[in-house]
Amino acid sequence: MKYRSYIFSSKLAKVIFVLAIFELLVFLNPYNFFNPVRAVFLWTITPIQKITYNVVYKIYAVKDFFASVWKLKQENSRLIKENLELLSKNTKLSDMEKENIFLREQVNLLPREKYTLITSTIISRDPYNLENWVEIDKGEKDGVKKEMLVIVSNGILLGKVAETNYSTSKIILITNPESIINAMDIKTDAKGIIKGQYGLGLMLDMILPTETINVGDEVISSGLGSHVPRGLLIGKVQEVKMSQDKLFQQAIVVSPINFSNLRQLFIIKEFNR
Amino acid sequence: MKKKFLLFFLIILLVIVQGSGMAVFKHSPNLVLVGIIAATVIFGFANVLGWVIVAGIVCDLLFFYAIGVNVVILVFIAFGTSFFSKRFHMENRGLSILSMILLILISTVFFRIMSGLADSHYIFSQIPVFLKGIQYDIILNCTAFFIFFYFFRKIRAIFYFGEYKLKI
Repeated sequence: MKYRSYIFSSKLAKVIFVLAIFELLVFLNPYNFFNPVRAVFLWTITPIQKITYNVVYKIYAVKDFFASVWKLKQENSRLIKENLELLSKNTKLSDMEKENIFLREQVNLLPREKYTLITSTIISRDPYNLENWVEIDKGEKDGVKKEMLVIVSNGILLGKVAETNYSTSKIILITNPESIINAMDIKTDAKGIIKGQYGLGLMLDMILPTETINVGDEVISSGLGSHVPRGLLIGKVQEVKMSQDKLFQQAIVVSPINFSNLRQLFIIKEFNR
Repeated sequence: MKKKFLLFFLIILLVIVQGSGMAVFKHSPNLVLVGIIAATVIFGFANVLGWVIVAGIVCDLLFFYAIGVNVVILVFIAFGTSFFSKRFHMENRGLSILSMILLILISTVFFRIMSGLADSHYIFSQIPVFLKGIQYDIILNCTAFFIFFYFFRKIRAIFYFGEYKLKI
């Protein structure tokens, strides 16, 4: 009797009991058992999250500024030189703009003004630096729905809405392996699937060996699938290789987004096909 | 009761700072993890178990994990810390600093692997990816641990009126 009471009151017994209970809860969770609790909790603490994120982001920006001061002089002379080159290019581009509008209509690329966007601010992000997800301050009350696409200001694809709560939403970034988006090479039309690789970058997978894909080509969303408009920039091809089974080509794609500098992003509420 | 509310609020604040503050930086200390390790060393496993569970649930809610994942990981780490600190007398000077660093190292690696696995639906081949840049996190965690450690020691001195005996 004494031995039994010792066992049940011991530290190890407590730990086993707690672990067993919570392991059971982990198994219950796939059925979204605790989502209402999470929604209420997130709604309650959103204001504190907003303040914390803004304050720390400002500190980060100041730190970034001081870190870059010594580079400024060098950067300045480089920019002057670049500016002169751009001036000459600009003349050519204004002519090409007209051509571009015509071509976009021909290939059915989406002009930016056809999106209906919801502006949102990041309030929290993956705490373990795997660049898997961010949390934003817009939720169901603002019209955010699951699977909606998220872009940064200049039409670059960032990810999609994975979970919505009343006032917040979880966005999985394109670097998250759970994010799979149909994509294509803008120059050669080679089609594939963009997959995330845990903060290590992106991979354009399942490209047929007969298709051509070159290093430096831009990759855009192909518009296949009901939720994805065609023409959102994903990144540039850095490396092309064959898959391990030699059945498909794979391309490492680098996104132009600096994920650690993100603050504001836009959810595509509607788009015209 | 007031003390309990204050502690509950502090835990929530710590988790919020972890998710909304520290995550802005490329490498950041895991405040919840080191806070729990330091609290276990100072106050003893039995005294912190309840709060470890609370912290784990708050982490699960805030970081979109299945409820229980962080609780299991943190309780396991707290138990390991208690086991470790009892045998190596971590409150005593001398070997203590080295053993604390070793403890942080093991806990950081364990935490990264376990939370990464839970996040990736247990794809074991991804473990090397979860450990990317972990050396910086270990250094930051060690620094944060010593801050927490001395802070908790002061707190104990105030609230326990000089009672220095560990309850492990």
